[in-house]
Amino acid sequence: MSGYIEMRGITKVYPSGVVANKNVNLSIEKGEIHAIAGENGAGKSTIMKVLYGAEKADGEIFLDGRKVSINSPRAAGALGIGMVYQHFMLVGQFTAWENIFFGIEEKNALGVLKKKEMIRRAEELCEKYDMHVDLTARAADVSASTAQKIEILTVLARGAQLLILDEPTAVLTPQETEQLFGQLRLLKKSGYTIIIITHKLKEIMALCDRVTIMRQGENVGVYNISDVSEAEISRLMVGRDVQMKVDKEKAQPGEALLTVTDLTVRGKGGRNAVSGVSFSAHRGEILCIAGVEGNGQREVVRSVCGLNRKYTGEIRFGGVNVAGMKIRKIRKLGLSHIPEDRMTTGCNTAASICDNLIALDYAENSRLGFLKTKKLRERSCGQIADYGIKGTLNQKIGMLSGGNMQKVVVARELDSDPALIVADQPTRGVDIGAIETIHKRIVAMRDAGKAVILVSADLAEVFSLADRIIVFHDGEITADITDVSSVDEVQLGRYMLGLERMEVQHG
Amino acid sequence: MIGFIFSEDFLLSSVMFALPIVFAAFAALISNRAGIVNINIEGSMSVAAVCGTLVSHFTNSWVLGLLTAAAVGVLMSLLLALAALRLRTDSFLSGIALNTLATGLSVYVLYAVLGVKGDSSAAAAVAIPKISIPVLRDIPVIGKLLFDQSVLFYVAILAAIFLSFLLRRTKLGTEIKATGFNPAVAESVGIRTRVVKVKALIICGVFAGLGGAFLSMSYLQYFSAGMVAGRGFIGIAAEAMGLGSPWRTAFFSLLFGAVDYFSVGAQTVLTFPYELLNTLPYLMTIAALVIYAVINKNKKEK
Repeated sequence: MSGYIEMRGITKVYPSGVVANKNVNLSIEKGEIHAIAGENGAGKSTIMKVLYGAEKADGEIFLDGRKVSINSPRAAGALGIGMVYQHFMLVGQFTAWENIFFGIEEKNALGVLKKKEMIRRAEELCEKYDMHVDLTARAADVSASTAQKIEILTVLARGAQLLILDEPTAVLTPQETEQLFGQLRLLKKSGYTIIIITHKLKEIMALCDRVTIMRQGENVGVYNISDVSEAEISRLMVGRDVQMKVDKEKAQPGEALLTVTDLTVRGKGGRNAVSGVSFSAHRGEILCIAGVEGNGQREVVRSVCGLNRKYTGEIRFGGVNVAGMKIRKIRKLGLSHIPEDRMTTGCNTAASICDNLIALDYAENSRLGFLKTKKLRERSCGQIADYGIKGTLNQKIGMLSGGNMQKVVVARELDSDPALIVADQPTRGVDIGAIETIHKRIVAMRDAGKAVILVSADLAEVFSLADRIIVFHDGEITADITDVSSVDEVQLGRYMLGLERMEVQHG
Repeated sequence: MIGFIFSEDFLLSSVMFALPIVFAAFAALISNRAGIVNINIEGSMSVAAVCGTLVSHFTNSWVLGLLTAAAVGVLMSLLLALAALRLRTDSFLSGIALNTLATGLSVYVLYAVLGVKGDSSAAAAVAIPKISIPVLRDIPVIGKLLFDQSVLFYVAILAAIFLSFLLRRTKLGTEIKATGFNPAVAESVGIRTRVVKVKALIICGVFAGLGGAFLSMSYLQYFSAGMVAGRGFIGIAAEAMGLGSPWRTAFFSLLFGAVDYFSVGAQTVLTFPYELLNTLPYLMTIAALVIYAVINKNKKEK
């Protein structure tokens, strides 16, 4: 056993006592595309951060049979290891080429930059690896897929031989994903070694040579892709059989509960983020808003939920015009909202699980300004058991893993007896087991006659939950799909990119 | 009144009043770009002013006085660096503390050296000279403006060129901008952001020192307690209006300088209580910051 990279006996215990990696061995061959698969909290990001020098851990790392110590990303870079994080590490105000050469600038003896030289080298890199980006565009202004290309170029410009990509497809459309895979295969052909962290089984099957599966901080198996099936990988990831497809009956849509008419929201630089959009959400139906992020979905959700009040057009909820209404009042009408970002708007990370669970109705459950503590705590305990939240009542919610934190938010929002649920990326960064729970709950809400609006960038989720799909592109609806089985991912991708447009019937 | 504003004298005096503000604004600019707020520019100017003028007096050399002022400005900056970067205090609170310290320290220095508490007029400094270019200075309007000015006027222009070159074309400039914009990314490519901040603070200190020296060695030839009179803060406001660009910052400093001069000069042509006129620069600062905040807010919403 003398792979390109050998990690032996890696153990990482966080100061909080969480064991992220337990005596993990990992072997990477030169020139392969290797997937690290596992649920959230399985320790796959941690082990990669250890390899990249961003986390310190016990154990040994060998590179080409030679023992190395990697104490910092800088040290990793010197050994030819580069990492593309899920959250891009770009300076938004810098141009693409400035980012690519940031920290490794070409300069003369006086520290004056050789701009032309750097742009020329950046162009060469783009050409060589078939990644075409506008090098003079500011990083903050480019799409997620372009930002990702800049990131990859940044790593390549530093002379990396091994690329680690953390959930690279989370922000991409199917077409962009295909393009990325093409580029990664090209890199592989040029002799690069690639590790991708992912939990998307289809992508593992389509792209990778081998997969290492992690569960609860341990390596539970390494397989050649040709020797293993999707179902097997998912069983190993979760530790039990997982129902991949959500069981649901055909929807029985009832009356329209929310009608949005001619909604227009101004966006950045005076352009319309949403322009003249009309749709309605019916009881007993899961309406899915699909689209590449940043095409107006966020503004629609914010307007519907009362977070944005500057819009033209009309939003009626149960017949009531909600224009100018306070959020609390709209919620009283029966709205519940699972926000896309649990860390900033979904919950108060400094407060306990219990405090977060009672955030919606603590006022109703108090007398003379004193909380009815016993009642609220009992109810919260019930929810923790009910949703399988791994945590205790008084534990700070910030200590939980993403999946468990999301379960707290979902429990709070779904148990508030809503009429309409707006679920914005409800399973982003959530592990398979928790996704299953959340999906089941959402379908149960629909079956109980609630209206559900699901915003999701995850096409697998869209297809398994949606009864109806509206696709957003550039602030407009490019498709209104009432028969979800009639379209496939590729077709949906074309609508998402605005390459094709469906005749949209309003209403 | 109109004649007063459009006179050559008004233009020249406005530029003179603007000089200390320009230096304060440049000081604010470089530290802000590196992401460290230095609100002690006012205090640094004050201590630099007293030290500069005294050294100039006792050594009979304006060059030594000027260099002392710059060095004292750097020392004051390093005090902030020590507190905010090494001891990890809040830079804003440390800045407030240092301002308070500077108020007392400048008078203390004055008292320790001369035994007086009000001003150092008894020990007049060798003034920073003018550079006056024959012939050119006789060109109407721009002659006096461009070719018959204090050394510090030319230093200010060089400073603006220096700053924009530094920020746009050098490695250090790139590091400063990145540290201000996104320190996490800067750290990730191996830049030690604390070191970058210290470097920015050193440059900041030099500018603050020059601003102080202008007041006590050029505008007047002695130090008087309270002579900085908020110019450090006005400089910060001018920098905010300039949105991080050296030339725009210089322009807004000039505007503030004009208002500053107006509040003094207009007393001779206007029958208006001078106490109210004197509030103009400060009212203008508040107005400017409100406009700045509104523009910024609209930008963010867009």
